[in-house]
Amino acid sequence: MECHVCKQREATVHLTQIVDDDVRSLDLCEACAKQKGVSDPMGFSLADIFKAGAGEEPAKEPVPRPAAAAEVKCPRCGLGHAEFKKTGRLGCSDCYEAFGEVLDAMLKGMHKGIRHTGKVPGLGMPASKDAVGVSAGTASAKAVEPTDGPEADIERLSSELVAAVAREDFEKAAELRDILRAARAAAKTTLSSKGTEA
Amino acid sequence: MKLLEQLAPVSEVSHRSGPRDRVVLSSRVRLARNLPHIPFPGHAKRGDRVKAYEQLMPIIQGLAPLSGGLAEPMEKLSALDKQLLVERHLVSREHAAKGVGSGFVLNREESLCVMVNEEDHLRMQALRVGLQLGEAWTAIDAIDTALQQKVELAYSRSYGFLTACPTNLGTGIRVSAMLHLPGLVLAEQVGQIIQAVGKLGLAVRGLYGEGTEALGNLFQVSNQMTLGESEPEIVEKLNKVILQIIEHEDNARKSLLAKKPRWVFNHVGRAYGILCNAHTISSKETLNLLSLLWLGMDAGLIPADARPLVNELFLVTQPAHLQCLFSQQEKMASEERDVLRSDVLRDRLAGLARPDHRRVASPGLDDSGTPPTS
Repeated sequence: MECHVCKQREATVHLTQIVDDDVRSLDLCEACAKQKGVSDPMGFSLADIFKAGAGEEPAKEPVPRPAAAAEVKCPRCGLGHAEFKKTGRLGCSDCYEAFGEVLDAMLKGMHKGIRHTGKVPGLGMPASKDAVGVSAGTASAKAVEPTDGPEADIERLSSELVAAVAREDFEKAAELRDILRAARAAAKTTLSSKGTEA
Repeated sequence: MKLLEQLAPVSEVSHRSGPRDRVVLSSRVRLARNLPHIPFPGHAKRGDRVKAYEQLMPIIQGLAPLSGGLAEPMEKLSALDKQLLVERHLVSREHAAKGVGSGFVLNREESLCVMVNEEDHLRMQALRVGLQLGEAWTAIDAIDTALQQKVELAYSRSYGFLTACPTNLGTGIRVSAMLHLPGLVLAEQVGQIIQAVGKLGLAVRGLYGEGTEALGNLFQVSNQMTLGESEPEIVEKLNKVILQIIEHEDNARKSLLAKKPRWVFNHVGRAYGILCNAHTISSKETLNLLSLLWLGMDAGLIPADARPLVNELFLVTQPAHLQCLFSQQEKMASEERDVLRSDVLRDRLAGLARPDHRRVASPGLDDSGTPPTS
């Protein structure tokens, strides 16, 4: 089999790529494969080779992106949309705001949901902490011995917060988070921190 | 002082044990965390990277479970030292390639390791021997909680913890276990298992993580989705799947020993023969053959008290360990290492009695057994 690009040497690199259910395959000699960057899986797509290559089997035009999306840049770190597309990596935490719309579509195919349901800074787990396997939806607070003092307050606030998160009342949750944070800070001197093993 | 001398001695590492460690060599939970507004390491200019590094290193070292451990900047380490850390699964291969502005902090027990400025500002992981995903999660959760008291992290109410790669977004958690599956490989069932696991949204990788091949019948199973599920849900999902894989592996081994005992003995015996008699051997072949010695031990062909020896050989025959422990040379060609490796193997295995099938009661070899059901 001859090389698809140079049509001279024997093809030793055989590629198949599936893009949007469209199967493309390509046979290259080692020299052409190297030149096309086939050894670098990040920087290469068959579509590019077909386009630049012998001209047969015209590659599908990429789906045109809305002009606006192409121009989006993160105001903080300057990462452009094109670079994000290329590397799949964001530049800084602010990029999540800058690329919000593009991201949501992407996240849908990547994750179970597009909203965080796990640990919250300063609050810990939405569900009871020690029970691995308890789903986050169980908003009912653990039955605790009613005690006086800051521990009881924190316990109560925590369960209110869990309930707020569960019903997606994030404003209330944020408010509770701040109150809780203050309560925790106040109680910190009296509460002994939990030791970790190892 | 040399890095190897600051790590736990090989003899100690090889004696570690944990629940279900015949199949699950290790459990790991890692969390990805970042500082807000400062560019992620991959996008940061050197100045920003160093700034993040200098802010984070003292904080991490100050966390109680990590204090008194080992903390090093990556640029201080030689290529060989970095490879040692990779072979012990303490830092990723990606991290080993880093230099100025990256580092790691390791606790004394080598059960917690934090990489600073890997792909994210922080990659914090807890490691355990055997199947202990819940324990690993609890340990790293505590570190994370303590960290959050000291520094503000990049977090959004809707997206959760913000990470350089959207695949880690939300919880930033990667729960994984290293599985030894010689039974499923020999029974040619491992492909089905990998497929089934993939359908559950989990990933199966080789010995050294992303993009590496499966050597020594070792497979890493981990979650891929990090957003829209809570950490305990993810941990529990992995735990359930791994328990099922263990069951399949056990069944595959039992079935092979019942149906084709000679064939299994043959594999183990030949592995022993080559390891004891080779005069040059690659690390790849060594891993594959040592895996069969483990299998032989689990099947009873080799006495169980040889386990630490095989564990030790598994570690010390890998390139960086081999070179640091048994050679004075700074640089070695891989051919030289292959010869050295065979010398070490012949020497260390000299005391190990050869696999004896008479130790195994197999229904395929006598008349007392009942025919196996598949």
